[in-house]
Amino acid sequence: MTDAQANQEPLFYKITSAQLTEALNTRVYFSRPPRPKISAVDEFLQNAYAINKLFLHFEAGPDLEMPAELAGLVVLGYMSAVESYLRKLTRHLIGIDDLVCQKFEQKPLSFGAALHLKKEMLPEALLENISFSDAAAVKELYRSLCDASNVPAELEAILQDYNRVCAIRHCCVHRFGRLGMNNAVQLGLQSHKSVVEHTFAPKASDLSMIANVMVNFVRTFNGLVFKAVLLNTVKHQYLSPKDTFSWKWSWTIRKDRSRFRQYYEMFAVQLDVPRSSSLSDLYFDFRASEKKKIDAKAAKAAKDAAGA
Amino acid sequence: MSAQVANQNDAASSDFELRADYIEEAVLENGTVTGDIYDQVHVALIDKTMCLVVGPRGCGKTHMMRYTWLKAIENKTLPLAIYVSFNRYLRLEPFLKTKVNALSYFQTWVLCRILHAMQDVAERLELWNFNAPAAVGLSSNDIDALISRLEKAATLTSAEERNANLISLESVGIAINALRVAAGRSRCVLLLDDAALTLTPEYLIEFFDVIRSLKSRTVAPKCSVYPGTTEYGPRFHARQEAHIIPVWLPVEDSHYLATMMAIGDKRFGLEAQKISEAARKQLAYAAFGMPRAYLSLLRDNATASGQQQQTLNKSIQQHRDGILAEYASLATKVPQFKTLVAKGRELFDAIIDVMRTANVNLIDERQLLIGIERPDFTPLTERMVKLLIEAGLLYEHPEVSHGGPDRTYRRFTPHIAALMAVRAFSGRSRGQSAAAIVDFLNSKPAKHPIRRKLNTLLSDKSLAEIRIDLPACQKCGTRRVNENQKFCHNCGAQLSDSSLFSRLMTLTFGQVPGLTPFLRSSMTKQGIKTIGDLLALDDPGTELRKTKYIGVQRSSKILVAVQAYIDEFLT
Repeated sequence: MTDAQANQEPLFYKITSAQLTEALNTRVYFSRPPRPKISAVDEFLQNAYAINKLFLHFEAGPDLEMPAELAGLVVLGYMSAVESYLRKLTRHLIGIDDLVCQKFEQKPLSFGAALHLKKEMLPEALLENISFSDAAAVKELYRSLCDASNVPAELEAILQDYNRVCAIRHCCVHRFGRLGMNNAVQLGLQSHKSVVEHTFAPKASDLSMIANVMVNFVRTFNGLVFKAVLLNTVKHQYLSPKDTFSWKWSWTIRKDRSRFRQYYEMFAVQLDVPRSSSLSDLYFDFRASEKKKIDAKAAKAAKDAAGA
Repeated sequence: MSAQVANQNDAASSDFELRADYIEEAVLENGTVTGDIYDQVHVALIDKTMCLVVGPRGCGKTHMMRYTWLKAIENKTLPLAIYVSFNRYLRLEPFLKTKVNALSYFQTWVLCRILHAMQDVAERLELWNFNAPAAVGLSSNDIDALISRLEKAATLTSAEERNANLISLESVGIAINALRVAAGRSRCVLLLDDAALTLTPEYLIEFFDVIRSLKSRTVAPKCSVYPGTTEYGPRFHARQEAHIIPVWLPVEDSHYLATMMAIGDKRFGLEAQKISEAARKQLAYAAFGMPRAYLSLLRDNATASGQQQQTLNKSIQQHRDGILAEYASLATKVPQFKTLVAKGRELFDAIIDVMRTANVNLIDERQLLIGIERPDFTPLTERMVKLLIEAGLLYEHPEVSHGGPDRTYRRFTPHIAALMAVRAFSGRSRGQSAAAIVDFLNSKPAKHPIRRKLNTLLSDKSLAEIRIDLPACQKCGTRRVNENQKFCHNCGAQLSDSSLFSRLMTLTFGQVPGLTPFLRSSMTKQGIKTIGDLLALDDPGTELRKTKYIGVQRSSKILVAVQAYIDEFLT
């Protein structure tokens, strides 16, 4: 044995080898600036449709087979788009709605965030440790945003499917698409027992069903939160008055417009078809239905007073 | 003629009710023909099996169900019968476009309708201690509120949501059995009318899931559906799980004339005698197995003045035009079927043409059958033919094979009124008279059907043009590639279809076939221009009565007629 050979590392140290890596200049990677003011739901739809364009041509062309790896990436992309939507919506709501703000006041925030972030970005930091990778987290968020003890049946219904997508996501994130035992239990062990350890490789049309669940989930969530948040303003200001809000609906559009717009612009679909109804249509409809309740309450109070 | 009979006949000519939904019970009981096919239907409706009662509009499905229901109320030895109609299903269609939990709303509605009907039965049987809504922990008002809310396609309030949660398949199943025990019957049949739900296939699948779950040792569901539908969803296999009972009486049946004539006699009595026997027989053939059509033709002929033969021919032509208009209206209702409906009409015309030529050349036998080679059918042409069968324009006979699987024919008989309207049975030396036509139709059938290939009936160009007219992407205008597509493959946007029901609400009465000009003008004078206007009125009668000369009687008559057409149009 020569000296040179004696100084060499044993072969089994080097079963794999790697090349030189350059330092990552991550700052330049985030090259796309924030989009101009668009609603959370519009941003989600744009993201979702951009993901769709990556795989839908496989559905249109009968001869093309979609790579299984792409399917996993699409699911992850969708989860990311949904989470981004939920965070953006929450952040804005904390900023404009006193009741939602009050609900989140108790939550702890990291010292770094408190020290360095702008005030309007603080709520985003608040949610950074929360993941929306299962239905329970979404329900919790709904209850906080809407000051509700229960989740409406409509949301419950779509969350069942959402949870299934979350199970698939878990396989894609942690096991490169292979179905693990826990996820098989989540999806229904009886029917999934035979495909444990199989890899997620759907057809493009199946993947678009998953995409459809996610889009419908966001549309449903968006509609329900908008409704509940507006109803809560009336409840706290008129129906069972508390001093939660620092302002009050005046029921004249001239005075209420800017306040209503803050809600409207966060929830309305403007960039997709069909578009949401116009701001004034929604305002007048909101006023008509809520004034009826307020008037009925006043009439009942007057009657009770007369009776007493 | 006794005074009583005269009065009855008078009533028959002025207010004669053709739709079984609105027939008075006494008429239902005494005016029902028994014998052959209708007896078989009645027996099937009270037996222990699950069954599908199959037939096009107006062939007597509702009549037989209501008749069976009435008999079962009176006769303690029969099973308990609960009659429920689902003809308002389309009102829930908007949910499919707006709510992710549309199917659970639909299930609640189906079960509420059953509970509502159970309460009706309990009251009829004077079971005052039994309360169907209470059996699931609710009140009658709760059930009515849920039904009314869901039929407006409005979101349930949280209180209603809680009520809806109490109504489950289990709780309703238990309630049905409780009612059965209270009534002292050993079994129960659920007579589920208008269960075809043709315009909402999503609901059809859910419906049959519900029905399968309600089926038990003591509960046998019976559903009325249209012919042509063969797909009831992945979990319900019609041929294995249910007994299929045709109600549509084929004209080839040896008792066809006798049965139809008996129906006319029972319902019309002496009034029908005004029309000659030969003419009545011709009308019976022209009705193509549909009692409702026969009664309507009889009424038109009995009340018309003028030459009988002319009236007869005119009424048959009008009848044919009516059914073709009804069929064509499908393209208005479901725009996706526009091409299918148009090509189906071409096929139907071609069949009529071929059959006319065949009959004109025949001497002492008739030809009512056309056989089309089975392998010719693709999923699209299959769907086209289904629409014709569903509309009652083609009757499909059981399949026969002539040597090997390649020579399998599907055999059809086209609507007789359409053949009569082109004088298929009165050609050459045969006269135009009703007697001559009936004689010809009574002659022995030709030994073999006319055999054709689909591409000899329709040109290759026409066949190539058959397609489902899918709406383009609303965002970028790209055509869709298939029916089940969720997103546009070009721009990625979610594809959304407008609600069928909402669109139908904007139709004017001019687009609804079958309404008389008088009914149309009465409505439009009051500013009730669209179907939606009519359904939105809380009290449409009051609005109508604002017109001169229209009082309580007339307004209600107009409304019943319009409502009936609209209900039919919306199913």
